Amino acid sequence: MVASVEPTTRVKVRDKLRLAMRPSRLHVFDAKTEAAI
Amino acid sequence: MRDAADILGIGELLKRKPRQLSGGQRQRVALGRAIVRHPRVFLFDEPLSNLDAKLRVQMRVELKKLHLRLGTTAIYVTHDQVEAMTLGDRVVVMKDGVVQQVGEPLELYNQPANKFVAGFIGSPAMNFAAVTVTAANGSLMAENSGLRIKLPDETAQRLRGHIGHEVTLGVRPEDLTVAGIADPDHLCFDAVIEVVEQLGSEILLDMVRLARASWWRAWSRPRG
Repeated sequence: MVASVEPTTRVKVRDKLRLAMRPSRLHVFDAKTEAAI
Repeated sequence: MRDAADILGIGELLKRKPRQLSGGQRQRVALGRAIVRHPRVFLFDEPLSNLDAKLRVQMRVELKKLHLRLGTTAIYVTHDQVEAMTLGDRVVVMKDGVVQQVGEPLELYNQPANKFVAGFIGSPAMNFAAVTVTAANGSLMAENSGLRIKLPDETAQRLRGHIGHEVTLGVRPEDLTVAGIADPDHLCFDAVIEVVEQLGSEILLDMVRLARASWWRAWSRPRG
């Protein structure tokens, strides 16, 4: 999974980070047809 | 011809041989040959695909300016979603010769018609995960082994008919933020950073959830 974060975020490999999803920006697709729901 | 050369900024190159021109200059000459015919429609078939990255960006801007100046309809074929997003007034996304969606660039970005369009438009590509829709205490949840997200009301409304069924959840990298205290737990998760890509204007993090790797590995990052 890839996350794009602010350039000022201080992170390095093996750091543990808590992320939040923007609820209004979630997308859902039918598992068989792959059409947006 | 002189007008076309002036538009393209190649007036000083007209006496040169093709081999004396750079890749970008040759592209401009090719455009000039099309412009002097005063076509009703331009057909561009991946015109920037053989240019290096820097020149491709420059020529993309030039094409945009040219289009605004001439006002001529152009059909532009590309595999580069950035070109499609930046140059197109309307974009037709095709897969195996079948139209997947037609719309304005932001319409495709915000409301992709299917998983293919969602994965094609946007860079880095959207993350996907297989989840099952469940109901609990009047709310709908998206669940997988180790994952339990309470779906927002708007999304839940659309998924009422999918309770008990598997669906694919998609979230763009730019729609993930470093969690703050105001973020509800049911939309947060912990992950471990595997790769850090510093781009200057943003940081891309390739991540994996440590404690529940079986679920977290279910997230896939389409590779182009």
